[in-house]
Amino acid sequence: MTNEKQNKLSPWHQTAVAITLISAIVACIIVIAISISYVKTTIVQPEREEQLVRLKQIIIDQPNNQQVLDFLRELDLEFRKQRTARIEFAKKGNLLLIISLIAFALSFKWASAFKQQLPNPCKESNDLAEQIINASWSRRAILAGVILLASIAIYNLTQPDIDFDKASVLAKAENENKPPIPAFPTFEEFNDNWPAFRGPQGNGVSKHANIPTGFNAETKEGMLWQTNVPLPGFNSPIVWGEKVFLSGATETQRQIFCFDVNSGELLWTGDLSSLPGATEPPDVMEDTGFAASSMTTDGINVYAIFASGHIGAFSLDGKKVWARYLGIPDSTYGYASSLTMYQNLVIVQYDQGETDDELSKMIAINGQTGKTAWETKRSVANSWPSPIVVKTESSFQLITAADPWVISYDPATGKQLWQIDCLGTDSAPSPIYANGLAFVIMPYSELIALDTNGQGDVTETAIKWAADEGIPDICSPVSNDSEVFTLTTGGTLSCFNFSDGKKLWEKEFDGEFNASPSIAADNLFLFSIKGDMIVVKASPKFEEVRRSKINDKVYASPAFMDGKIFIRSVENLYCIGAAN
Amino acid sequence: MTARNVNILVIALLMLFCCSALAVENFPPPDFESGYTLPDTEVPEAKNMQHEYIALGVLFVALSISAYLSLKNRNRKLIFSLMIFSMLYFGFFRKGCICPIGSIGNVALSAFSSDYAIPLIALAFFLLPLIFTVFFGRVFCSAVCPLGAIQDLVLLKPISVPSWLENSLRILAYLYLGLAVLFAATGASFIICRYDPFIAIFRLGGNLNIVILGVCLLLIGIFIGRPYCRFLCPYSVILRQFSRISRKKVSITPDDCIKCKLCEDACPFGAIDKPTQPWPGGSYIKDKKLLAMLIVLTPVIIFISGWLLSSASPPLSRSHPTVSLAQRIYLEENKTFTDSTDASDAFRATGKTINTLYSEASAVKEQFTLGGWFVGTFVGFVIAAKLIGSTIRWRRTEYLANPASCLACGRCFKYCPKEQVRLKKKSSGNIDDK
Repeated sequence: MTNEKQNKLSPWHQTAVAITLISAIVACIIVIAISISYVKTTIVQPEREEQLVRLKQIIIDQPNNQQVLDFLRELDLEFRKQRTARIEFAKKGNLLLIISLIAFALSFKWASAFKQQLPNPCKESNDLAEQIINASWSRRAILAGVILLASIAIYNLTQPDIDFDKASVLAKAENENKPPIPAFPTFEEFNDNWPAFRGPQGNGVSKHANIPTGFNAETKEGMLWQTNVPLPGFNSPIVWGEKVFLSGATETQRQIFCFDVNSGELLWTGDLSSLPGATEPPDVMEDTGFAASSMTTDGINVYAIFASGHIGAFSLDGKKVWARYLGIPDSTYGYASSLTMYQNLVIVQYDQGETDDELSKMIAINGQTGKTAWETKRSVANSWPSPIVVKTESSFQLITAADPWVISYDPATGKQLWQIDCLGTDSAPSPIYANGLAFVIMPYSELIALDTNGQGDVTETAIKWAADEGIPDICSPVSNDSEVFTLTTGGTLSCFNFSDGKKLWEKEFDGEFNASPSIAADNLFLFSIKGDMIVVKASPKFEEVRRSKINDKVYASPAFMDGKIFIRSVENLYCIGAAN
Repeated sequence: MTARNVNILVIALLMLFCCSALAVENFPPPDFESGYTLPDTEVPEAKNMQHEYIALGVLFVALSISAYLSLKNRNRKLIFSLMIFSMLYFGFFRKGCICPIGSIGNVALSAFSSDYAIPLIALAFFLLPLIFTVFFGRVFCSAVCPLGAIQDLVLLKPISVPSWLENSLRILAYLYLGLAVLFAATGASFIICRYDPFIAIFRLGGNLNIVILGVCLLLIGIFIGRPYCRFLCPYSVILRQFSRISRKKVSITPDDCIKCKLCEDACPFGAIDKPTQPWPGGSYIKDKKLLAMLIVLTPVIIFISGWLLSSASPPLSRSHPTVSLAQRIYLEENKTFTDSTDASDAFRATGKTINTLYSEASAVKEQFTLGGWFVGTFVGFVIAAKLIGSTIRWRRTEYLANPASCLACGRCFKYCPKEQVRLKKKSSGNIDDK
């Protein structure tokens, strides 16, 4: 019996062969199973993926289509479950496959060891001829390889390539020839208009001396026009040149409106309703609504933000420039902070959640591109004041009030300048800046005067004085650099001495007030919710000048331009002024 | 065709399907609909270095055992066992990283970039096999390299590759090494790691193209022993040179060669050099002339090779992220593309000017052009050396394991009758291990 025959009969050889066959069969089964799974994923599943994409598009177009939304959610969940299961299956399958293939290779080698043949030492060969042929073929093969590689290299040489040096020069030249991006307005241009909530510096003071002090709604005397605002909103009007801008929103609609200053005609409507983002409306209070934040403008574009977290820009003639979704802010009563501008940057005070949540941040967005220019996180809770950009003695500062910090930033970079721990929960009145001091309000509790020249945490040193009587919860303060005035929701108007916070006088009015007081031509303008416009002297002694009334509900602070007051009620926009 | 061959072929074809099995699906994140914002990406904690030191220790021990088994014990079965262990530990358990082959990229980057400090572990992984090679030959390739191990495992039906073809294909490894150093030095990428053909198999998933590459190499490896090691591995290029000067080398016979020819076809890697015959006079003169001509042409070959590689710098440089981004921005600016990519959007959001990007891309391209000259010169030198080598007749009087090519796998030991005698004596207790 030969060795080979003996080996074939060897139980070890038979075992090795059996393992080889079994592992081969197992490997085949696993490969087939995984391949079927993979084919299902790559060929069958994409159709369902496309269905999912189509449904997503439908839901963007029809955000209220609950049926589609439910189906979409079910499909998405099912789809993800299947995929997760398939990936898990593939992972386990791969491991088993590798194990079976290793087993196959090892047993195959083992089986082969029983059948090894002895080498044949008698094989005749002409070693010399083989050596010469090998050397010759070696040279030919190297040359062939070199020619092949050279051909590839030469082919590459013929392919067009970008000369970045040249492109750089061209791009530079093109940039020089491009029409320049319109320059953002100067500080003076800003002051000539009413480009944000409570005016150019957010302090509620108008530079114009010819502001009318009254009107007659019955006879329309002193009323230039009245126009309907298509969507509700509590935001205040802003004015740039010959155009007045407002925003309005409901659960499903978000729009901005442009009116003609002289006629009240609705010039255009910008729509931001069908933007991607949350399909559920934000949870807001009725008193806040979906469009409480006032717009802002740099004279190039106008910018609006809504309670849903959607923000967008339109050119002054109504073309959409950009739109973004910042995510629904976690705000107890609904988001209400207004936008403000610094040069070409749209400043957003995006306070949300609790202090420890680290959700709040200041965002500066490039007005032309919609891209974030800077973003600074801040440890404050959800708050409702609006930020102000003011020119202090040394620099521009972006001053913000929130729970618990009043923080000032460099508006160009977002770098924090100073901070003061002096506010509490439900902070709503906005800060103002007057004659070197900032004034903030802790609702119902304190009016606080702050020095703005510090750096870092200046809680111990920056508070100049604090007053604790007649403190509002919603309305922001106003100052004429000699006195500071506050107005409570209940109608108490208080006057404080600018330098030491001593209360000079107090006057109670009937009605409720949500609109912040404003100063124009040495007069204080107060607007009650019931539509009363009360004008009193902005002076150390109380003196009422005049009362007028519109039969409408007014929550928003007015805008003042040359000889005109723009009052927004819930449904209408009024222009008060003398006819030419 | 025998049943065994059919069996191999069936398995080989089935392995093609493994491509689909190992490819991992891309899985998009869910769309959140309720104002939920994705949490900030958290950077995982630094890897526990203990595992790295253990791996380094295992590498040292494995190299030592491999040297002992190849040179002293001369036991193929134990070498094979160690090889399987290395494949499981360095391959499947350690997921193929870090490995000495891939560490070439780290070393090259640290040598050319002042911004990068090579991790000590990577440096140790790079150096340790080289040190062992200087003393004991390619003991890393024999039983420690997981890439070599997985190829050795699938070598079921070896066929020999003609030496002229082997000699020529080996140039690819030199080219690959040159390009790997160039790509790492310019900061483009670590192409050895990126295109590691077996990493997807070790990790049980990965890029489909890499899976296909790995499976194809394994299919070829069923018949042609260790194709990646012999024709592509850039680390083997370095090991070959170190192995030439190693103090101790693997020998086919434990004694003097009796030229019995039994070992002639024993090596599936073509690493056994046969004794040479005296050169016939006519051919000798012809080859001498050829040698003189090639020596004269050497500078020309080197120059042409350098020029070709440097000319190929534009397509090569596109693998660099800066050049790739600049190209995309250029095409978008010229309206060739009307859409934008995440990368181009991110670039525009940085506020960096396009001119700056173009200048940076231009600088990277210049680096590739210069580097192309160096790599081309290196490859040209190798080509010239190989051509010259083909005209030189080395005198050999016995069968020898080629010091550069021998992978110290120990397959040839048992073919030597003197080894059989040694083993018999050893089993009868007459001698100790040599």
